[in-house]
Amino acid sequence: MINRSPWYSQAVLIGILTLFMLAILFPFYYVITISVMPNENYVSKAFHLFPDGFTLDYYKLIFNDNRLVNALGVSVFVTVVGTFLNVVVTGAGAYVLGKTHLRLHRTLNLMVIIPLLFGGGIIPLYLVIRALNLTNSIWGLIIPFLCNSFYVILMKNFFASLPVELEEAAYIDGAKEIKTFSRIIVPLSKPIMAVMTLFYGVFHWNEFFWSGILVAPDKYPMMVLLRQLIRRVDTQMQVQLPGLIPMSLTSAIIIVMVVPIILISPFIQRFFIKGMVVGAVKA
Amino acid sequence: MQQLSFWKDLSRYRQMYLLALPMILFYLIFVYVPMYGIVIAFKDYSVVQGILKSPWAGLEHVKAVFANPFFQRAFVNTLLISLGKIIFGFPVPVILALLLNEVRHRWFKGLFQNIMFIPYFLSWVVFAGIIENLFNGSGLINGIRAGQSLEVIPFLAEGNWFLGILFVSDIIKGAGWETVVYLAALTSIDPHLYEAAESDGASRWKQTLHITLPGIASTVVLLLILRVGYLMFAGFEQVFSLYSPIVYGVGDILDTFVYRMGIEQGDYSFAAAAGLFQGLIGLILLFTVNQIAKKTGSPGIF
Repeated sequence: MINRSPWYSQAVLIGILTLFMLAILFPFYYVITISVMPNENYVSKAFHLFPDGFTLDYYKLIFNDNRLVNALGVSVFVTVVGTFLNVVVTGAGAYVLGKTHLRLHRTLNLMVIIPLLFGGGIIPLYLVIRALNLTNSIWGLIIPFLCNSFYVILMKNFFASLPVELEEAAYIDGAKEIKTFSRIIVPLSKPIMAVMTLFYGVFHWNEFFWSGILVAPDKYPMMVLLRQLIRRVDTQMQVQLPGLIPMSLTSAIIIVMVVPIILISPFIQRFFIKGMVVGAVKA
Repeated sequence: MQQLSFWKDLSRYRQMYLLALPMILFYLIFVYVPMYGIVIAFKDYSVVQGILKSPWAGLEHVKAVFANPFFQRAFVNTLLISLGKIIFGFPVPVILALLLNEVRHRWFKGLFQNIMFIPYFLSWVVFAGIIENLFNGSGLINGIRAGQSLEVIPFLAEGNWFLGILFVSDIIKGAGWETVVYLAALTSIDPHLYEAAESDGASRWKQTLHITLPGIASTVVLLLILRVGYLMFAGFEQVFSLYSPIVYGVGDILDTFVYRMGIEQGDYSFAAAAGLFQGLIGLILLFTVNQIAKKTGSPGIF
């Protein structure tokens, strides 16, 4: 731009934005600080801006205590298996939604859009999941959450952007629909598959409400356990891990749960910048 | 194209329908059966008899919901919290995007976006943990105050402080995401417009006012109608992670109320009636807001 703003206005701009960034970063720094210092040092003083001593005991505990290891295992299982099924079911369904020659085309599309406008709330869904005996099974955290209408529409829009000629050529060669989808469409759809994997993965990793009411405590994922530790509703945990003040341990768990998200967020952002998601907000 | 009869269509395109079958089953079982299950709002639901066989109760539960002072409180709280989030939170990403747009250093833009973006993808449980670390009775802020012999501030146990925490944490978590959405919209503005404005002698401020803002106006309207459309949903996971009985007075929202009445207390019919009310108002709001947006020339959300 020709009319360059003077250096001091740039400095003010960057100053304001940096303050906002620090408001986000500082809390994480503080949580790390608590998680790596011995608990007795933490409680000895009212506040610490730097770690007072250094220990990785709380991180080791996460990977040694049976209950915590189990919870982390549930989180990983539900995230990996759940996300895989999410992407397969959503992808195959979304592909069919774009086929206008099907008699049920309008019906199927309406079926997906209606839940974005109206829902019956959590009670009927809870009763249905319970009636199907999905409570108390780890599958109860996966099957009732297979599709998200917003993501279905996102995938449908992506498929619509692919050239139809490839599919037509496959049909002329005698390929059936399923084969065309798996051999032609899926290989072309790696970008949207990646986005869906990230979105559904984040959902499963972060989910705590349904997990907390659907399964028994021995099948809790880590987020549910973390919530209980934070809210101190869990006395069992303190009995099991004597002498620990939860703040140090919860801080370490927070960091363990945050790191995967931080690692993938640049990838999610790249797809955002491409305008993929923005363009798809409109159903 | 001539449409085939129902059965011919099914058999001709059976592979297509087979591909969609898992998704169709999902929607039928986990979306539309529950949608039918709302009828328990008009029944005396009992676990033994199930949804179908429970006896009808007419409008008994609906009346009970409307007469319930805690429901009324939750309704008012939902509106106030949603509106507060719009008033305090909605302008923030617009301003951040406009400010960031004026920054010349590319590395700073990249860094800012990368960091701003992360909180949106973190669980509210994680946020609740961080907020406890900073704001509870023995947290950082009160620790510093104690060092100066100041009294402890009950951030999470006093209504106004609690609302403040809700509004601010909502901004910290969501503003980055919306900023990135606006920045994506900004990239679609034709740079020639700025050059033309330059040569006409328009200042940076005037350019922002007459080119940048109009350039993202449709995105602003879109995100605003989405927010107003979902006014009935004040952020269940956030409130659920942070609230406690002490702040029910200002913090209990429809979602948490329905959860406690239904799942915790087992009064399923009553809770379903409250949930139905929430869903219906939500539906009406979405349609109204969408119509208004269309009247003003926005494409709307559907």
